[in-house]
Amino acid sequence: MAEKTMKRVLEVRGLTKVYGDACPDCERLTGPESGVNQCPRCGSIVACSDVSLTLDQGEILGIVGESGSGKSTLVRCLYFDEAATGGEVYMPEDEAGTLNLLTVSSQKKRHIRNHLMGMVYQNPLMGIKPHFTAGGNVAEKLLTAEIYHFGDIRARAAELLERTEIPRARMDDFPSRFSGGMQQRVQIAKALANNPPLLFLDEVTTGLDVSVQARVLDLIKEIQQELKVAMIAVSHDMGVIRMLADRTCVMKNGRMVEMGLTDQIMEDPQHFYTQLLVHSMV
Amino acid sequence: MLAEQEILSIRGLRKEFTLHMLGGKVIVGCDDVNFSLKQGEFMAIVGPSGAGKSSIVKCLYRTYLPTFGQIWYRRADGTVLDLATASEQQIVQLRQTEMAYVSQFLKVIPRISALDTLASGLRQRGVEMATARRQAGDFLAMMNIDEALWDAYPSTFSGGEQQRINVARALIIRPRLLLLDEPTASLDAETKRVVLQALLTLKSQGTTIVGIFHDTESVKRLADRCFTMQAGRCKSVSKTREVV
Repeated sequence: MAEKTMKRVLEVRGLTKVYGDACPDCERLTGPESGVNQCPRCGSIVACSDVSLTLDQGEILGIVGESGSGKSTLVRCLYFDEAATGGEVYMPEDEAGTLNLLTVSSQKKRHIRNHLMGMVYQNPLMGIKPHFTAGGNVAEKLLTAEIYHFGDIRARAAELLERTEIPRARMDDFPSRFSGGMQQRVQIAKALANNPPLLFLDEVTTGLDVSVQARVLDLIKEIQQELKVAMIAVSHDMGVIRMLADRTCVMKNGRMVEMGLTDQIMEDPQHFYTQLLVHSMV
Repeated sequence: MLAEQEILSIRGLRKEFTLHMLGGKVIVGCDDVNFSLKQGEFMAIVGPSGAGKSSIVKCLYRTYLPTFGQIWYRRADGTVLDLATASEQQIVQLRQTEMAYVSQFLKVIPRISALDTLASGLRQRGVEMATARRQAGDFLAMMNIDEALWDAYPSTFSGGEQQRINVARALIIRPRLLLLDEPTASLDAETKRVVLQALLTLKSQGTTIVGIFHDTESVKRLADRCFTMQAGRCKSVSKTREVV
C-alpha cells in the first residue's frame, strides 16, 4: 500500500502580532517565563509571537489557553481580520500557493477569504447579520464567492440550513428572532456556504447551554468527517478540544508552549503550564 | 533498524514523567525496554500493578512521549518509522490506517450509537455507509450485545458492555498493529472467550499484537512470548509456555 499523503491546507511560520510600536526588547521581556504579554519597556502588547503550525485536509487542530493567551488573535490574523506584524502564511490549495498570504494585496486576501476560508465567531452576530434572513445570510457568503444564480443560491442555502438543523420554515425568518444556539448554527451554515477547505472556529460553543453545545459539537464533527474540512478550533474548554481535535496546541502569554497529539497533551503534558491546565480540569 | 520479517522493534525505551508542579520531581514509568516482534506475533506484557506495563503500550501509541530510545515500526507500505520521534501528523495517520489501541476504559464520542461508533472506523477507511453498518452489526452480534442496544449510546452501557464495544471498535478495522491494555479485565467468561477467539483470528490474519494481561489463561491462549516487568524494568522475556 502506498503511503497516503494528506493534502496540506495551511502552513504558518513565525506568525507574530504586536499591538503598539514594539521595541527590540518586546520578545525577550514577554512570554510564559515572565508571565506577561505587555512589554514593560515600551508598553506594546505581544498578542502572539513566533507561532508556527501546519494543517492537513480533514484535520482539526485545537488551540487551548487562558484568556489573553493569544489564541483568538492567532485565528483572526489567519482570517485577515487583524493584520499580522510578521511571519508567513501559505495555503497550497490556492493557485498562488507559494505566496506569503500576509503580504498579498487586500483584494487577494478578500478573494482567499471568500473562496478558501470560513469563520465561526464566539458571538454569532459577528458572523451573521441579524437583519438579513437566515437564507439571506448564507446567500451573502455565496455572492462573495461569486455565485449569482438565484435558484442555485436558494437551493444551497436550503441544503446548508437543513444540514445545520434550521427548520426549512425558518429560512426566511430573521436570526434576531432565533435562540443563541440557532444563531450559531446559521453562522456555521454561512461559514460552510462556499465549501471552504479551511474553517476557523473561535470559541463556538462558549456561552451555549450544554445540550445546545453538544449539538453544535456533533455538527462540527460531522462536517469534518463528511466534508473533510480542515479546522482550527480555539477554545479555553479542554473538554471541547478533547472531543474535537486530533492535535492540540497550547498557548500562554502569546507563545505556543506545547504542541502534541490531543491524548498526549491530556495524559502526558510536558510544559509546566500544560500540566497546570490539565490538572485544573474539573 | 529492523531485521528482515520484523515489524516492530523497541530499543532502550525509557519513559520519565517530570512533574513541574512538584518542583520538577521525576518519576520513571519504564526503563531499558527492548524487544522485537515479527508480523503476526503476540507479545504479552505481564507484571504487578505499577510495574510500567501501560507506560510501554502508551509510548507505542504515543499517548506518552518516550524520553529515550527508539520504536522502529515497519508500515504497510514497507517504510520504517521511529514511533518515538515521528511527527504527530504521521501518528494520526497511522492511527487512522493501521494502528489501534484498546484501553482499559471506553472513550467514545457521546451521542453516537453503538452501531455508528463501530461503523465510523470503517467509514474513515472509505467503506460505504451501508456496508460499514452491516459489518458493525455483525461485530455487535458477535460480542453478544443485545440488538435493542445497537442504536443506544455506549456511554450509558454497563462496564462489561462498554468494554465489548471498546474491543470490537479495534477489531473491526483489522489493524496491522494492535495494542491492548487489559482488554478482558471486566468481561464475563463467555464474552472473554469470544474476545480471545477474535484476537486469535486477527493474529492468524497477520496482526501483530502487544497486550497487557493479568490473567494467565489469556496469556496462555494468545501469547507467543511474555515480557515480564518489575519496577519499570524487564525481569524476563520468555516463550509463553515457560512462564505459565
